[in-house]
Amino acid sequence: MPLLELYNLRKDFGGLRAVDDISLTVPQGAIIGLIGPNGSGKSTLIDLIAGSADLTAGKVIFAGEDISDLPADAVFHKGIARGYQEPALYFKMTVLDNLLLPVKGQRGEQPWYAPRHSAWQREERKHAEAAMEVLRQVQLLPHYDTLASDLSGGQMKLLEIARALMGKPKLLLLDEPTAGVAPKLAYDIFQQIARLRDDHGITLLIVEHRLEILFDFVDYVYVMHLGALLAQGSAAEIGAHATVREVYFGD
Amino acid sequence: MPPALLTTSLVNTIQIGSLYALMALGITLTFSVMKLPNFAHAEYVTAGAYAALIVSLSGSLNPIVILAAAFIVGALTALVSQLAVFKPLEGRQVSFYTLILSSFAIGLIIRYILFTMADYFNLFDLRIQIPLQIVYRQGSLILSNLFALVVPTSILLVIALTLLLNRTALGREMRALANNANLARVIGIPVERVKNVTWLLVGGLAGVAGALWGMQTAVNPLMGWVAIISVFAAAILGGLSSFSGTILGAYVVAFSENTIMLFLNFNFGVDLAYKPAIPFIIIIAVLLIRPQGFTQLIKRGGDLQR
Repeated sequence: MPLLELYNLRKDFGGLRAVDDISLTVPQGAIIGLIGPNGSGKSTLIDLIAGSADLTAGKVIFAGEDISDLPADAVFHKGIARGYQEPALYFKMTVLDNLLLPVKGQRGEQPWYAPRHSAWQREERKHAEAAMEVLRQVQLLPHYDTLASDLSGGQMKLLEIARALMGKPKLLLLDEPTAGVAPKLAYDIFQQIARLRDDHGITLLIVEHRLEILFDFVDYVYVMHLGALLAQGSAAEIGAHATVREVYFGD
Repeated sequence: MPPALLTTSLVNTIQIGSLYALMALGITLTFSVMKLPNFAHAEYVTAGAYAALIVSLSGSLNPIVILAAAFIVGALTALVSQLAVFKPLEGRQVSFYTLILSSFAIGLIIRYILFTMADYFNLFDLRIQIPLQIVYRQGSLILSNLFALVVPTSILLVIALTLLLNRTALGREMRALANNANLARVIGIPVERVKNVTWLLVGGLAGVAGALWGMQTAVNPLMGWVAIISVFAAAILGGLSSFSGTILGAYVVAFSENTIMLFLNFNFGVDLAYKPAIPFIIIIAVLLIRPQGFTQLIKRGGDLQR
């Protein structure tokens, strides 16, 4: 059964059609690549799925449920987390605080519990331990008390992924997880991503420009061009696809 | 300037500065978390003062009961203005200027509801009935029981608010909202609920400030409005984003209005009628010379944005 189904998604910005009639499915447990030239509408599509932008038309079905009209925080708690091209973190907070923010239903966020330290202290410690475990998995454990702004670009990407994991997502949307990251670390990041699927059963939809790395890891690829779907297929098929090569590589 | 006058003015500076701090922190918090310079804040102060007055007139002179009533009424007034006006406007993605103007409008509506009520029940210029007595006297230094109530209460509330902001999950979420509200939504922070709680806190503190204010002067429907410019001056001195800066700003404004004003009056014959101009002068000077206020100048604790 597909985890995510998109039906005829459309997004207009004034007169500009950024996403034009996109329908696609993401099967449970797959790693799906989403590629296309700059300005082809990939990031807008991610925004539409995550609830960060309103649909002009179409339907988003997640795990059999229509989530088209849900706001971003509700979508997050349904099990869809995301990472950004430019890491979006709370840079003036510590790594650990960044991870504690998305935890749902904390006692310490209730105004009647918050003033009483004893009412939430133990629970907070439990959440912090869970966060430390996630940090260990993405190899950021030594940096738990560092300000997010003091991390390297690659570490920021990993922190975004770690934060997404705190919400125990079923689907993770990543927008260029290796943008601005050194080639060696880029491959590491993809290995971490593959482990999310293998160890946690998380399904992934990844926008990426480094096709040489992406194609090593994906099960299936969708290609967007000018807001519409241009092609789809396995990495090998897309790599050999004549039209794709033309719009993408210019040959 | 005779020393006795100096002492008295310094006592006033501390007492009034503490109240300014209580109100100005609310302004800073709404500006940071909600991105709104809220002029209706003045009316949460007045609403709290009237709640306190009515409780005291109906026989309860226990300061805790009086302050609790002021907190509740101030908090609810603030929450209602959020739910009835600010939230629907934000949903329509109106501009910053529309929000400022609507805050003036809400303020006017609340103020004239209070006028009507005060007129009907004849509640003009009454003092909240805490019996005044002198608790400490040493030469020209005279402290009343009011000073002993106002200053520690304000300081305790300011400390409590700072701890809440820095040590609890609620405070963490408020700081996150202040920093990047869109991201807060994407990572699943219950933005609307955090905002509502912030409004309750802001309104409640304003209400308590109003009650304490009404114990030393008199309660009337304009009292919050009269204080709001001084309070904004304090918040602007704090750069509208720093707790420590706002608190310092509150005492600086109170010091200027009391001690410096008296000094100018005594030594240079400046008329005391110019006192209301002082906060305006401070606001303009800060905006012209150092728009970021005290931020980045002092080592911070409890800041919303750095």
